Amino acid sequence: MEKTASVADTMERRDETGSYLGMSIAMASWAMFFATLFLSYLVLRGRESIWPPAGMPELPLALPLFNTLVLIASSVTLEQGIRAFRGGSLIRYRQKLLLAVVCGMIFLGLQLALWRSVSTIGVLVGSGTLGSVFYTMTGFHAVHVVGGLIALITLVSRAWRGVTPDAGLLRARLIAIFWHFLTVVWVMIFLAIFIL
Amino acid sequence: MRGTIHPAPESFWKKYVFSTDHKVIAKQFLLIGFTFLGLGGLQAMLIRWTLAFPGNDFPLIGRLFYPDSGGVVPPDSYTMLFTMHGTIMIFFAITPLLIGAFGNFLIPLMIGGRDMIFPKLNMLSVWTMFLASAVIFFSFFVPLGAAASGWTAYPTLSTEIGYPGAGQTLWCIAIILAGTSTLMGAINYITTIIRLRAPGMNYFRMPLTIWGLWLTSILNALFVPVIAAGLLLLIMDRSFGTQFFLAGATIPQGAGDPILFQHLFWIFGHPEVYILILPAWGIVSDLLSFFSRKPAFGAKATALCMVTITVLSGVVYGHHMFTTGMSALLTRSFMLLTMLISIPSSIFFLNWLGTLWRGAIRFTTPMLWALGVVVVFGLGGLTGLFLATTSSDIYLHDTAFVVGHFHLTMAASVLFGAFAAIYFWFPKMFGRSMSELWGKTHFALTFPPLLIVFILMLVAGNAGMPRRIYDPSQYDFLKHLIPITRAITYSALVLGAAQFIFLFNFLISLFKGKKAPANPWEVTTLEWSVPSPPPHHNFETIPAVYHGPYEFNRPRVKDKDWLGQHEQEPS
Amino acid sequence: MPQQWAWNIRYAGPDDRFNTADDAVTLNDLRVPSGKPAIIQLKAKDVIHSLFLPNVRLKQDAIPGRVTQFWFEPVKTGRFEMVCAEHCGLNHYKMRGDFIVLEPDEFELWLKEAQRLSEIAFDPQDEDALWGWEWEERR
Repeated sequence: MEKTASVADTMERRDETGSYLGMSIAMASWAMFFATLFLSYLVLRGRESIWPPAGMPELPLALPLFNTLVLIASSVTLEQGIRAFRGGSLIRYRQKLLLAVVCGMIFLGLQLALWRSVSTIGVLVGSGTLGSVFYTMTGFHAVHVVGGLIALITLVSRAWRGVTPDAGLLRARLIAIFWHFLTVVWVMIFLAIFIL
Repeated sequence: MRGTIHPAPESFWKKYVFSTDHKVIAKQFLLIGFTFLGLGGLQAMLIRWTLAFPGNDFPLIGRLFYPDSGGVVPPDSYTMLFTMHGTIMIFFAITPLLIGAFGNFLIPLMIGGRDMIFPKLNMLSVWTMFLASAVIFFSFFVPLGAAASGWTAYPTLSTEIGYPGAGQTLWCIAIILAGTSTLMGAINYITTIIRLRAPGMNYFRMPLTIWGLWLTSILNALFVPVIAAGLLLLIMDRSFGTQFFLAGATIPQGAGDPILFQHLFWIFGHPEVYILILPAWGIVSDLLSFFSRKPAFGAKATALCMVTITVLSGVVYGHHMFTTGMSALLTRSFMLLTMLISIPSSIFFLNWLGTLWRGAIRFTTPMLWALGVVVVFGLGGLTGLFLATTSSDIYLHDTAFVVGHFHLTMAASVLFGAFAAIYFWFPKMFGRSMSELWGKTHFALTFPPLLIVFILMLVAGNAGMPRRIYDPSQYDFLKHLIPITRAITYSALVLGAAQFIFLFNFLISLFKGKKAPANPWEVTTLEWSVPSPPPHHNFETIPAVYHGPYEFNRPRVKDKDWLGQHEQEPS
Repeated sequence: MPQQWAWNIRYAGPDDRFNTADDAVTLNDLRVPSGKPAIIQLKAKDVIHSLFLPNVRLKQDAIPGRVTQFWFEPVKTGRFEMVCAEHCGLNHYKMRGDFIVLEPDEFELWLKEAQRLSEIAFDPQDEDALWGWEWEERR
């Protein structure tokens, strides 16, 4: 039974600012999570006199570099799609969204290839601190990418069923924030583990 | 969200089990909290019994838990007891009670909102907590038993070297799940307080209870992820062969760092203790004002002190690690910062006294508990200074002094705050009143024994009594402390027994208590302007707020000595 | 070097180096002369322990994989106790040792005797027994 609101009420069908605020806090929490992993990596690396530690090979560079570009491309495409969606162009939104999802899947596939390649040169999960740090950081990131992909796929399903910007733009933008966050985290992982 | 009123749920499942109503979710958290409070309390009794009467079987139920040893707690079970007692009290009793139950119940009502801003997330949060509870409960029944490396879980004892077996790993998982529930709650609380305040409710007109809950949520959002990461790394070390924390002779290539875990743990762990107490500080600040019929002295300063403590809480954590071989620079910095953080606490403590000074004090049950907090927190806080000072901490670290200190500041203060909150808001939550007589009896039988227990612990610790020791009589230098140990245990048993008074009062009042009016305590905050219990949508119309919650004895208000936040002073 | 659940103690002999034949090695028995500063270095074998000497009001954690250090100067002779002050497992509560402060000349006598006994037991092939480390002044 609907009650009419009085003068003192403000009618807001949905609090968009609130949703963005909630998402920002969630991002801050996630940032602290990954920051802790980075801190652990830096502490463990700082205690070693040489890096990679004795007996460990250098990590490959080409594959992760390419993968970084794939993920960045995915973020850029997603953002283009969302702009299109906001502008009312559902077709372009669908195209860009699908492309972003495909790029995300390529990223995961290449990560698996990276792990296989690294394990053949002798870096396994149990290979001391290098193995621990490498697999843990890339692994936790990948798990989050899987979650992000699932969220993107729900967007795809809604886009295909013809959702309107009014109903779907907020959700798309919130998921995009998470996806861009993962891209930023990956760039930092790439720099910290493969370049530094 | 603010304006619309959603229809109330009809079916049993939607009303009581899968509810998105913050008031129902609050009661679900209350149920979890009470259950584990009881379990944790039982464990405390087992610990105290073992310390005072080593080799004697625990009366009545000892044989039920420890059939193989004839009812006597064996040493390995003792290590499980103190580990799980700490873990359960912190993550599964206090957090659900103060933050889960009262955060949920009070925030929308006190700020003038209809519900939390993310009701579905709220429901997810309590169900994640149920899941975490199931995991931790189940961990008692795996072979090799529950986690036993202390609630602090330092490696390498907490790795496979020290404690193989599923119990320790399940413990990590349960805490990660509980932390996830807390994070969801934190996002909800912070956003709700920022976005859903009623018109006129600016930040400094919010009750201090809300300030406490808000700041706690900010700390939760920032620091729970740190322990989640730390525990995930521990799980990696235990189950996936990594070497983050593994070192020593038993590891061929030991390049991990056990101290890294301590850093990660305490970067979370120290803010965690402030997380636990901030709501209680806020509640006590409000209750002291309400039952002195006086404004909260220096309310704005108290809020700002709480903010300062929130900010500083992240940079004092090293005082837990003074004995690990830290450099002089670090120890001195942490010592200085820890002493600095005592200053804002002292300021608002004095504000509490200022609130009481020359007030028309009403010694209701909630007020008695709030006054109890003033005493135990004052005492506990002072003992913290001895632990902040590195030179005395070197001696007192890992002794019963620390145990006394943190029980006074954390357990006693927070639990007294929780009892104050329960007696105070029970009428609003359940529409009936609890018995004042039995409430006061509960206080009278809890407060003195508690003081005895923890003050004697301070004394024993000062004499060198170490903590986490199964049988102190192994040491000659501790033999003269046996009478103190026994005195602590006798008091603790009285303390434990007294809680049954509360349990019966609560349960009986739930069904047979006198029906409560909207505002039995005659106080000013918004939740008392709606019926007891509130309707599904809280407020018929969202109130407009004209002033803070501490308006007492306004000269132009003739018929009562208080003025509700939603009421205007007659001109 | 503490381990689960005992204290291994080693005194460098006149050659001032560990792991040589003139070391004195004891179990759960720490003796120091009064009136002289004693420096103790700690490194745990397996899990974190903590050497607590209540009578000199000092403790220091012993951590696997790194060396920690503390020093003190005892002024009273007597028999005291040493305690483990960091939860280290099942028998943490029994990890007791003797801490004895002797007059300097008594200490020298005892040390000579302990060295004599250790020399008899010295086995350069036993890696587990040669747990000493390079002495470095530390913080």
